[in-house]
Amino acid sequence: MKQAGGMSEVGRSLPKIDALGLVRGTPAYTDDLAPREALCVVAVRSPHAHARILSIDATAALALPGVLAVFTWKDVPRVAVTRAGQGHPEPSPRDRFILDEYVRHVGDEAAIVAAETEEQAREAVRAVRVEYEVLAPVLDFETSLDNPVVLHPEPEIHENFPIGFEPRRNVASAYSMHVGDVDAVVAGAEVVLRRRYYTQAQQHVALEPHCACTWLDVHGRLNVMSSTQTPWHVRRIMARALEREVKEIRVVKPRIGGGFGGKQMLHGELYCALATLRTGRPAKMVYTRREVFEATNTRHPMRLDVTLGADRDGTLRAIDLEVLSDTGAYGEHALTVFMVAGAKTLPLYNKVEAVRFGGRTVYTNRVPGGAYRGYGAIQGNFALESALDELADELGLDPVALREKNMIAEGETSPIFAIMGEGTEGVEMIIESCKLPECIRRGKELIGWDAKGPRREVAPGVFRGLGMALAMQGSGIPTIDMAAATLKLNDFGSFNLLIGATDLGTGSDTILAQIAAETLGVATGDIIVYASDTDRTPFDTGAYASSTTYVSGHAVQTAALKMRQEILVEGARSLGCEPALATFDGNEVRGPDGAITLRDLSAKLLYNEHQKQLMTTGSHLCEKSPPPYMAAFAEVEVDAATGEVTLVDYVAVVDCGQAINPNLALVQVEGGLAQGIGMALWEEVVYGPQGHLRTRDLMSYKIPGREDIPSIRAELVESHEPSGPYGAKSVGEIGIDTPPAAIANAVAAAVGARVRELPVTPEKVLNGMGAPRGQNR
Amino acid sequence: MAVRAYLKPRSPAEALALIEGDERAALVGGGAYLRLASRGYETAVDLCEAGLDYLREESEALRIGAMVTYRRLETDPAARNYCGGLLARCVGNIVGVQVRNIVTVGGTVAGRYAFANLTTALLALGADVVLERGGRKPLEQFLADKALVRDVLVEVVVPAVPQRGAWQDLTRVRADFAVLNAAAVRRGDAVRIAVGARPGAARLAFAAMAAAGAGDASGAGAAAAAELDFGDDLRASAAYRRRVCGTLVARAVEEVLA
Amino acid sequence: MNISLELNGRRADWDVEPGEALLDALRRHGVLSVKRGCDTASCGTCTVLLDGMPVPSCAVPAPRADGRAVTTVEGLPGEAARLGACLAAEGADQCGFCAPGLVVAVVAMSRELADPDEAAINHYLAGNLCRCGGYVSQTRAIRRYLQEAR
Repeated sequence: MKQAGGMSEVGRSLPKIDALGLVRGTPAYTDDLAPREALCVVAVRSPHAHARILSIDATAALALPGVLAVFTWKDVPRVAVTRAGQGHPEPSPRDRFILDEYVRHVGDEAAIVAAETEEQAREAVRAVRVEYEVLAPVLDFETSLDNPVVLHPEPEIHENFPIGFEPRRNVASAYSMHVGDVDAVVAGAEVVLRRRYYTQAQQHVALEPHCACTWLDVHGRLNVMSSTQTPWHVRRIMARALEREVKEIRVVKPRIGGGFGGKQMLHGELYCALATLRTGRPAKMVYTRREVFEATNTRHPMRLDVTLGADRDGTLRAIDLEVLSDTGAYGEHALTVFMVAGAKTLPLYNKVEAVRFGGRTVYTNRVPGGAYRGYGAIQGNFALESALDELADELGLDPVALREKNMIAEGETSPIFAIMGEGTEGVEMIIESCKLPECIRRGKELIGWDAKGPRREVAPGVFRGLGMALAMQGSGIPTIDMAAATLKLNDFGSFNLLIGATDLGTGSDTILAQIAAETLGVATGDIIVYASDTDRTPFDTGAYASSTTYVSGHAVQTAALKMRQEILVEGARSLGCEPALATFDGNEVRGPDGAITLRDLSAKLLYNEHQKQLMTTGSHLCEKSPPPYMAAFAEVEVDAATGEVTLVDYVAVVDCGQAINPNLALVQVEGGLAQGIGMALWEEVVYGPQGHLRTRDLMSYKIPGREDIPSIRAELVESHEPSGPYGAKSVGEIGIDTPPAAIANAVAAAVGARVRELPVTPEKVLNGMGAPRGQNR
Repeated sequence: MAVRAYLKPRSPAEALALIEGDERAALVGGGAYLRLASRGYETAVDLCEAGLDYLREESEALRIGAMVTYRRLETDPAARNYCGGLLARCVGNIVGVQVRNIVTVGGTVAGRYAFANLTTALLALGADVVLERGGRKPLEQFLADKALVRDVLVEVVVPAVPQRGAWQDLTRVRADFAVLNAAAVRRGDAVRIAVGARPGAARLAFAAMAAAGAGDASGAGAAAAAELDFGDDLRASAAYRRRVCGTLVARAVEEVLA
Repeated sequence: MNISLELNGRRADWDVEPGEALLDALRRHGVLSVKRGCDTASCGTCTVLLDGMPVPSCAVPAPRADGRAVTTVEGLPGEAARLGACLAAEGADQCGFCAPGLVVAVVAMSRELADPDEAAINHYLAGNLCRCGGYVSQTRAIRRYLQEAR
């Protein structure tokens, strides 16, 4: 069936190709597929936030039944690495070892145990005697800079290129940039608004805990199966850490139970590898939920100082954003998350005369920060979009009108695109698709912005308020993200699509099959997808930075265009005509004097005449990063006596370019919103005074359940990005960005409580309640 | 310590005999946090076959066997219709149906969990507990007993006389333990009020009860906020709890006075 | 210790540890649809039916299943296929890790509640968390499944 625009496979809400198998519970995830005889690997974890290991006595543990090995820092290569799965060389500092003499957060690995069963391994962990010299921790990131307590004194650690790494000062990275003279423009502005905001640590809570397993194959190569978003980065970092060659390692990603950035770092892989290399046995490591909380990563907490300079008519003239970011014990994604706080927010308001961004990322003795969906952007968005509402309030303007006056538009650019990349310089970019005006118009209509007004009392002491926020993201990382795809024609007309891309539950395998099918003119069902295997599929940097549809999709399209051409050539040869005179419609190659079906041609090519394998590869380097956009509107109900906030409605209208699979695009938006709503209202990683996690299970760390999420209304506007495959941009992250600001803005509208420190708890609302803000719309 | 034996006694008396002489034996009620248990015992004594999963309506009392689950409080007409649905309401948001299918009344009360909504409601109802060894005693007294005597909780008895009940709680997400909870039960002109998750264990608010008995709902709220102690935890601060305690209690009292 | 249960309609005689959770016993015996998500009975991914009642198998001692019937999604292939088709049609499925437990809970709900509205569905299934999809499409799919089942 042809769709609008003449497309038959792209633009269709096809079911996810793995949907039925997963619903039926088919073994598909790492722990389902790990060899039954795999050893269980469990870590001995630090009970202290900061300590030096004086001694480790494993005698008793090794004497227990089933225990095969105990590893300490003395048993592993002393090679500094980062666990962050990023480009090579990584923009994160290489500031950790497989195991180290120091432990830097509660839950940090002190030793590793391998035993026949999980129970035996856990028993052995309890039997390992570790003597610690407890050190003073740095727990408050605002006191970390130049603190006498230095987290990383070890001499081997280093940055791969200048990222402002100053470990002696507890600084993992630093950066600053400016356009124009911000101080002068602010000084001349009619209204100046200075505000400080805080965002909290959030945990990904992918329902599948981190899991990895390793084994040696018949060739003695180390095979790794892992719930990872970045198989190639895992392989490269493992090779370095283990002092092996990349060619000695294979990494495979099976189905994974959610990632959201949390599986963009290495976790169990290296520990399993130690066990397998030592014993020759398969090994697996399945994190408990507590370990996920204590020993993986969180979103980087940030302090954001915003200064806005504007004129009374609402002309925004200067933005200054100064950020302090807390990377915890290790600098995973330290620089890049922090840079994105500016790079993916400031260009939204591109008409300012001057803009400045800068700050530092500092170490603390907390769970390391890491990649988490919308990284940096959600923190920056909360600060900037909250501040804009505060400015609108001060100017007596409708918050929407203020944004409309200053926001970026099609055909425009921002100098920030060229200045700020992720860890490096960016690239210049003219915005070729930006449907923000349509997003805003539709969003206002759906939420009833003009009809309802900012604030209504719906029952005595119960107020409803409306708030909104805009957001932008990117689509891949320019000049860094690269993906490849291979198509292989099978007898009787089906294709194998081999892709490095990493479907982490998003449906990207399906979407990429749709792109291949569209390009080839065949049905998506004729595309057999095999993905994410460093031995058997081409390269892909991985599933992060909203890159898969835009970057990997492009590679698939290129491979498919090449395949079409080869089919045409072979079809013409079979028909005895010039290729130029032949056409291929996906079903048959037609020449002037006849036609041959793909089914027949493919069988002939393998069994009968001119026998050869048709196989094409496309690769794509991301050259620009066209932002998807969103206008989001929240309606909240606040009980003025208790401060309780109920989210009653959320409208999100998105420009993600052409949606390859509209249903899967919408569920990305809806899922992102739910996580963003969680961050706005409830989720917070909390520590006790000694640095022990108080939120280490799903009873204490609450993610939203289905009764907490209202009937979100997400819509896509019609849009076409010329640089994307079939006009697509990205949609994986944009959904998460808006809820903190939109909800905080709605709460402020409802009861006048301006909460500048996430999450927006009833307690903060109650404490912040004063006079409701002006009726400015 | 690994669990080496799993026993299913056929009566509370048999259960008591099993745990009495054996410090390494422990009772399993609902079993909800099995995977978290510190395994401080070698013998698990499961009450699932001890005949304690009954709900018995008597002329002046409802007897709730220790192994009755939260879900049965919601679905069994005897419990669901009891005191305007107070028992069903107070457990209705505990995580999900799956958990409510295994968490038991006896496990909750015997565990003396400070966060338990049910305990607050039972206190307001003036419940008694019946122990295999210790016999029948008021719930307040049971909760106040500091010495942990090895015993088997057999049943909880709540009065079944004309009464009105109201439930109020604040949670973060809906399906969560309460930030603060309050129950009010009115019998004639008398109102019993309990407040729990402060985050300390549920307590009766006597001054509030006096004010409520005089028909003053907001006075009852103010009195409860003044007379009870509140603490900080993950979910909220003491100051916040004190501030909203008045509101919750006043709302509960208004409901039972109406 | 030895237990004997009816697993998806067939008798199973298992040797389990006295301190083992039903979840771990199931997975150890190759019933891999039952997922371990949280260890605290908070997420719903390990939901099974015990004598027809949905329970978190991580919180049920394996010995308690002795003499009882345990149903996992492997024992509900028709329901899984039909609900799966609804989830796929609504674009509601994402990583799939929560799906088998959700199917089991939805089956229990459809047997227990006659004609649940959206609020009743959300309340009944509150113990089944999903982190990928934001619930909205999932609820649409569940309503569609219930309609088709009638």
